[in-house]
Order: sequence, then C-alpha cells, then structure tokens
Amino acid sequence: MKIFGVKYKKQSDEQLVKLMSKGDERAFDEIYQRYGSKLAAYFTRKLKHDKEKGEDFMHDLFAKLIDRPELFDPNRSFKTWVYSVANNMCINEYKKMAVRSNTTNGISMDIQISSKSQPIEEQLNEKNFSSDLEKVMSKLEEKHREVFIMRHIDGLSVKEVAEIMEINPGTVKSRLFYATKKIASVLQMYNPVNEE
Amino acid sequence: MEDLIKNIILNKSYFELSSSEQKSIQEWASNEEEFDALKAVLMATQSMADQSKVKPSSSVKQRLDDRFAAKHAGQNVTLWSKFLLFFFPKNTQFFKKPAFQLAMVALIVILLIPFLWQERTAQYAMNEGQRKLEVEKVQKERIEERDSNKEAGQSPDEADHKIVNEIKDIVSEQIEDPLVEDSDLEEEKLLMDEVVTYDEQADFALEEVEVSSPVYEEMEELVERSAPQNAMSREKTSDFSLSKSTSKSKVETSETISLLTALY
Repeated sequence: MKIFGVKYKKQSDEQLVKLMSKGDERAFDEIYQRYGSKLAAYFTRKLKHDKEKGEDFMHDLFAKLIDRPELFDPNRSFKTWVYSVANNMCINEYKKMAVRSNTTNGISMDIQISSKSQPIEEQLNEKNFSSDLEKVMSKLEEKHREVFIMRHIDGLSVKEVAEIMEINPGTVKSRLFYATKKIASVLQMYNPVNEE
Repeated sequence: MEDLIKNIILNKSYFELSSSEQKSIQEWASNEEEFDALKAVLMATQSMADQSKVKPSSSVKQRLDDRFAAKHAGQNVTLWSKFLLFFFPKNTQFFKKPAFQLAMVALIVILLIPFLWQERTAQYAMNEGQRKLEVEKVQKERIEERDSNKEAGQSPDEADHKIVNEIKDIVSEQIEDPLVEDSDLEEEKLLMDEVVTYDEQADFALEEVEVSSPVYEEMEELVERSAPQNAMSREKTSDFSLSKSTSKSKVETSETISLLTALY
C-alpha cells in the first residue's frame, strides 16, 4: 500500500488482479466495479433472466477469483478469461439443469433437452421475451445467438469472443454474419416502414 | 462486423453514404432496405444492452468483501500495515485521518515558535571593560600630567580642571550615544564623581602642605618673638602643626589664633 496511492482507475485489469492477489482491497473493488454488473447481466441473460441466480453466479465467480487468484494467467486478457469462466459455468449449469429435468426435479417435464430440439433457455423464457428482437434471437441457434449477444450486447470484440468460446475468429465472423443477416431479414418483415 | 461498419450503419442514412462507404458495407447491405433493417437491428441491440444492465445488490458485494478480508486477514497483520492503518484509516475523510491532524499540529507549532520569545528587547554586545580601562588610563595620564606640571611649574588647579574637563567630555560623548544604557551611564557618573572627589582630596592635601608651610614658619617666628608667655598657644600651634588636620577651615582658625597671640 502506497501513501500517495495507486491510481486504480488507470490500472489495467491484469495489474489490478495482481494487486488483488496481494491483498489490495481497493484493487478488488475496482475489478468488481468494472465487471460486477456486466457479469451479473451476462449470467442473468444466460440463465433465463433469473436475476437472483445471475447474482449468485457472479458471486461464485468473484469468490473463485478471491480464493484462487493464481488460476488467472497474467499473460492472458482478464476480460476474456473471466468471460470464458462465466461461459463454462453456464454450460455446467445447463448440464445440471438437464440432469434435473431427467429426474423431474425443478424444471417442467415439458422441456426436453436434446441437441436437435430448441435450446432449453428458449423454451423456458420464450413467453417472457417482449421485443421482436428477443423473439428473433431466441429462434436462432445457440452458437449463433451467443456470438451475436457477446459481440453486440456485451460489447466484446471478435477476437475476444473467439478466445472465450475457444473457436477460430473466422468462425466467429461467419456466425456473426449469419445471425445478423437472419435477424435483420426477420425484422425487415416487421418493419412498419417496409409494410407501408 | 467491424466497428467501422457498425458506426457507418448507425450514424448515417443510406443516401448519405459515399461510394467507398457503400463498398465497405456491400457485404452486409446491398440495398437501402437491407441497410435500414440492419440499422434497426443494431439500434435494438444497443437499447437491449442498456436494458439488460443489472446492478448487483449490495449484499453480494458485502459477502465478497467479507470473504476477501477473511482471505487476506493473515497477510495484513504486519507492524507496518498496522501503522498505516492507524495513520491512514480507510473510509474516512482526509481531515479525520490522524496523519493529517498530526501534520497540522506540527505545522502550527513550527509557525508559532518564532513568535514565542519576542517580548525581550534586542541585546547588543557592549565592551564595558574598555570603558573602565579608559577611565583608569585618564587617571594615570592625569597623575603623570600633574607630575610634569609640577616640574614645569604649572598650577595643579589648572591641570586638574583640564583633566576633569576631559573626563566630562568622554562621559558626555557616551551619554550622547543612544546604545549606552542608563545603568551604564550612572556607573560612569559615579566613577567620574569618585575621580573628582579623589582629585579634590588629593588637591586639598597638596594645598594644605603648600599653604600651611609658610604659615607654620610665620607662626614659629611669632612664637619666638612673643616669648614663652603663651605656652598654651604654642602647644596649640605645635599640636596644630603636628596634627596636620585635613580641613582648610581649621587651618584658617589656627592662623587667626596665632595672629591674635602675636598681637598680644
């Protein structure tokens, strides 16, 4: 701890994590300020708009960071690392939900988990989607929707999305192109200007 | 989609596009309808991103803070960290921090120190020993001068007056000097008076010897002439001559007596 202070706002994510691992609470506060709400929103959206669950997942992720900061490789980007951890947590949660659905615990029997059927999150929350965009997005395949959300709603770059999803950036671009064109074509049909 | 293309679609209308911009978005939107649809999608995603912002509850942060504190509790208990925590406590305003308060007290003390001993007047160095030496020197000179005057035949009164005037001049010069204090001047005056008194006494003794010697001779002559009738008066005269009284008035009285006895 320095008397005249570290300018935490100007520190990079990686430097903040390094400080945090040494017990600097202010560094942790800054990291939380940067990613707390974003990750909570990410989890909430991925986990069927369940805000409480999203917050719990966000808490678990930061708890993991506090307990084992060495898990983060300082040579990597913290942003992509934290989103990839969040993505993996969601995948694990989907698997748990699938198991529960097979044992009829917690989730309705009507929801079927299979690679061919509609994604489970779409089945759970389809009726809650209010906007046309959300409806169209829900109809997209998971892989296309994820790329689209990460790029346009979470504000990640193509490279970051590729790192988080552990796929080729070219693949990200093609998926993004497909999803955007698909959504645009559907919304074009609902466009009142075009209808006139 | 690159950020450049995204910005072009969001910020411009189709008819505003330049040929180069149209080329760059050709892959995404080949006509105006596709362009508008794409624009609507991107605008909708932006509003969706704004809506989806979730503010986590404070309880989550509190739990994380507790966890963080528990994790690093052992690390923070060092002497230096205790010292820093005492002087720079967190979550307190800067003027409530002990380090700031101590610094202010120290500053006030430093600023007040120069004003604490200002009642005393300035003291200047005075060489008093030299002044005494001057007086002694004058005395010596006076005595030497007197001796020389004796030899030269000058009257001692004139010499004494001259010396006294010299001393007075020296003293008056020192009185005129503003640096000389009153106590010093008083001492000076006392010294001068002592000198003057001593001179007077010395002068008187010399006068007495000089003045009384012719009288004494005259008296002896008178006594021899007037015979031994006045043994009393002769005794008195001899007593007078032997006693060598110190006052001038006594000498005059004895003169008178001796003259009266001579007349008888």
